[in-house]
Amino acid sequence: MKNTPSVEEHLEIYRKMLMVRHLEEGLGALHKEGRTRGPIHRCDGQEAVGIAATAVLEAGDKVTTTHRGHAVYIGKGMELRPVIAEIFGRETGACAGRAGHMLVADVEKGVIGGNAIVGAGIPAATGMALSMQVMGQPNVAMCVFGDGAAQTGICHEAMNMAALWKLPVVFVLEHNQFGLTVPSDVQSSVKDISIRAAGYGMPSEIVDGNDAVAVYRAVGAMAERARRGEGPGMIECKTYRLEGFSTSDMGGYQTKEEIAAWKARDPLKISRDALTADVDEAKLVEVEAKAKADVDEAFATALSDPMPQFAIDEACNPYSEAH
Amino acid sequence: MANHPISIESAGGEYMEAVLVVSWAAKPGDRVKAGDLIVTVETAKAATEVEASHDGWLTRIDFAEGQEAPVGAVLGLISDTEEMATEPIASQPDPVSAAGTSGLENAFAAPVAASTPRATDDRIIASPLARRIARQAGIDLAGVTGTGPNGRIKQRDVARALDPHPAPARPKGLSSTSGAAGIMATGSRLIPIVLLHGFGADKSAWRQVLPLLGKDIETLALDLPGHGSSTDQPADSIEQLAYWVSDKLEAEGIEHVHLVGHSLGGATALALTSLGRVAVQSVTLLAPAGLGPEINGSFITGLTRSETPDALERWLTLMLGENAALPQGYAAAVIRQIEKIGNRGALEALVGRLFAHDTQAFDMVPALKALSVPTRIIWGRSDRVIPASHAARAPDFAAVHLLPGVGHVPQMEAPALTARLIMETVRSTG
Amino acid sequence: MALMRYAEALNAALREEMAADPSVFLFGEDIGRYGGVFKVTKGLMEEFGESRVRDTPISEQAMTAMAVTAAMTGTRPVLEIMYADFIPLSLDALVNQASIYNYIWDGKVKMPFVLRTQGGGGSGAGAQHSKALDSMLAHIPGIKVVAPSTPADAKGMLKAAIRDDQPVVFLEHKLLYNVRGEVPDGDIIVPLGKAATLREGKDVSLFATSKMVVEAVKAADLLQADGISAEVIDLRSLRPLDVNAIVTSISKTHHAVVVNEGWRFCGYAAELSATIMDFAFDELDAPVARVTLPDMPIPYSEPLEIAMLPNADKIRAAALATLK
Repeated sequence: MKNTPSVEEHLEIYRKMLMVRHLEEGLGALHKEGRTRGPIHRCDGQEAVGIAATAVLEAGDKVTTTHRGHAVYIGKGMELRPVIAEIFGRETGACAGRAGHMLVADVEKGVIGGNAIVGAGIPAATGMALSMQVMGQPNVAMCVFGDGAAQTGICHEAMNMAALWKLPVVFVLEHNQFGLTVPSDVQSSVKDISIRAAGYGMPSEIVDGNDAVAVYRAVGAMAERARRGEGPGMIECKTYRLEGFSTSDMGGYQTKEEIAAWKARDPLKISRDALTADVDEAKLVEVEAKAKADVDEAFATALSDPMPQFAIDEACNPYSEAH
Repeated sequence: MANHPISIESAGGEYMEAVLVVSWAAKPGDRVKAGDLIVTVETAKAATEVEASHDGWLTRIDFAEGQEAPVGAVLGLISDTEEMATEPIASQPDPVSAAGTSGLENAFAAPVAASTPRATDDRIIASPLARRIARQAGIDLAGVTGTGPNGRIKQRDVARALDPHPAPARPKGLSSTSGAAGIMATGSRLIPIVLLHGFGADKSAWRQVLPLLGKDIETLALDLPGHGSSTDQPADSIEQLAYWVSDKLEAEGIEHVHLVGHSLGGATALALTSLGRVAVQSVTLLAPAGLGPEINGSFITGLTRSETPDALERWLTLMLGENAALPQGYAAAVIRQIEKIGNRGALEALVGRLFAHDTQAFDMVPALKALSVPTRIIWGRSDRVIPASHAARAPDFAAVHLLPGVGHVPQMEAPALTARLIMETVRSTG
Repeated sequence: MALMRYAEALNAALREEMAADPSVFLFGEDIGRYGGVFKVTKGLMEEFGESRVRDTPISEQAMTAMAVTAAMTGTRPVLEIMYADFIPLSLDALVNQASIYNYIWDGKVKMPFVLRTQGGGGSGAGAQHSKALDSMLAHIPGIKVVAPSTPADAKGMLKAAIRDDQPVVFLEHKLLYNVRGEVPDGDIIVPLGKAATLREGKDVSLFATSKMVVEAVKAADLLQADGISAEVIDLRSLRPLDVNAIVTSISKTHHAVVVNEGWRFCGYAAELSATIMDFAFDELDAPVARVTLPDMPIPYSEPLEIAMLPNADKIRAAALATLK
């Protein structure tokens, strides 16, 4: 049973969190140079949720995520290059440049997708769990969703059905305090959204979302419970969105003090501090250098990859023969 | 002052959607005499010279040299007086006609001769079908009275204009050309003359002959499969061509026909007589294929493979008798047509099945000998595509005409004589 | 051949497909123990168990979204949405989810789910239970929308829809469920996207789907008495549309009446008439006539509702007008 990550597992989580941080910072820099296209939703400061939660999953398990899903993509096993190439609309992107950074998927890896309709990932994961139950598969589906999505009507419908049918789904609430610019306490009638789980007869737990080990333990336990057929559960990971809603966010609604306080509890720092007990400094520095180098190389390769060619999608042809 | 439009209809039967203005022989302000060459246009397969219909002054040019004009369009005006038309002369292709089909609207809205019942600025209201049929039949809608809502000209109105006194027992399809792709019908008589063109051509092959056949007849010129507007129809064998023609006739409700076929169309006509699905009243064959093995394979290959007007012209010239020349622009028009309808592949496939290795792979002599109706064969003595000596295989009952100085296409080279001989065959049936 | 009601034909299709393929499962409101409010799923829970035939809470929005992802991960769900009027609740799942993934994810996912629903007026169900809404559905790229009019097509097309790897919205009609018709025995598939000529004619073509086909056939009978020969084409599939069948018929009759039980403005009848102009403009001898619902809500009271619905008389009148 997955409960506490081994040192090797934690080191791998740390390495992936570093890669995601370098990815987000690299995107920020390229956005300033005007080299990105469309809005980019960065997850700086939230890496522990997406990486550690997906670290408990097995290859046949599935995950849905939000429009801010870079940590989930990398956490569930996608390589950097297809993710970055997709963000830059390249032919070599995970979805051949058709999806963009909000809708990345890798069906083979079980990443069944980012979703930019807030709340839509919740029934999506629930539907996958329904499929697993009907087919008698030993897998689980995971939904990483935000505090904004928790306020949608479809969240209620999906969680009710998940609990009603004891579907193997884990709801990982990435509580980053904001729905676009509106703080959670202006959107939600309750501070701790996971208390709603009780209303569905579903267990829940609140954890420090910046502590990868805490996220791993809680999500791991809930996933194993679901895998045993005991039904869904919710983990509320308290974290903070450091870099605004998207690259188009003008800011001004997050206080400096608040940002500074959360930066002091950066998930990278928390993991590194924990790892120093078991891993020597040289190894950590080596891992850190490797993560940076890998991201740099992936950016360089992806940016020189070719752009795709447009073609009409025949599957969408409204006529029964080609016209 | 009276204006006389210069229009494409005066060029004779024409089934293309558009023509290319090649050259004006007069410029605005010039005095012209009836019968003078006034403009040369390139039509489906030929450069056609349009003559002035009246004495007067050329006062307006609506389509400059190099511009495409829809069939039926007014190309310019001849006025009885020297005053210039107020409208600006088109010197650049205008965006409307260059865009294609919308140019048709201009054509029908253009000023018409003063003798027509409509005011010059009247927009003609007609259904798309009525417009299409009128265009194909060369009818000016300005002279047609509409009986639909708001005076809209419908198919039935054009049909009435084509044939004011329909015979009571007339087959339905002929009165209207309704929906029959590739079929053109004019005139009126109970038993139609069905004309089948040769390899690589289309129904416009008969454009010189048709107007000369006379008024009280019914004609149907078809585009054979793989050709013209029937490019998408498959054709593997002479029998298949014949079946296709017979299906087409059946769809039109036609049971009795006079057949006229040229070259490949001649072989098809003979195959059709063997099918027994239509009652054939007479057969007129122009240099028919299938009477012997020889054929000029180089001509056939050159026809299908040439990609430039110059190259094609060299080969096309072989159709004609010695020392004859193609009309200017003819080869270019043929190339354009092949590219437009995209039937090069279909033609090459047909060559492979019917004419591989300089040999006609089918024998129509038995079908010819089995005929029991009036039969006439017309062959140019200078035919360089299929030797005129094949005519010697004609049975005794067939009339054979060997035309001196004429090549493979009597309908182009001697249209008047060809028309006369066709009508003599038809009339000989009583 | 067996004489069957439309609802029984659908039931037979579901039973056969579930028996043949364990990945086919059904979910929807009242479909299990009760057998469906229109009895289409009668007896299936008893036969296939509660895992494969699920009664659901009233949660159309999530159910439709779940059908999309269940279909992407190895099953072939058949979801029943009780009334087409509830389809707006499903629209995010159709418009923003189902329609995009095959293309956006570079062809790497299939979505073999069927959304069965029923629409249409004439039963006094009022403004929120009588609409067709087929135009709204046929508007969405990547989703097939079919609407059979006969029991034989209901069975053959539902089987085809379940086996199709694209999402299919399967539109039934509350007034068709009790219609009887001959249904061929055995595993007969009716391909999606093929129209059927129910009546040959030469003067005017009537194009319709679902219950409107029944009205069009009645109209053709009325027109026969007027001396008009009407061709009736049951389009069967709204998307993909058998445009060749339309062009072929119009090339024969040169006059078209398009019938649709939805609203007129921006409706399916408008799409049909635009399609006819795109592909057969030069065959038209008159403008295409539309027979549709007027652009207003459907009232309850019988004379009000009946006055509003397209029917054989209105189709006949439209045909006569187009032939003027």
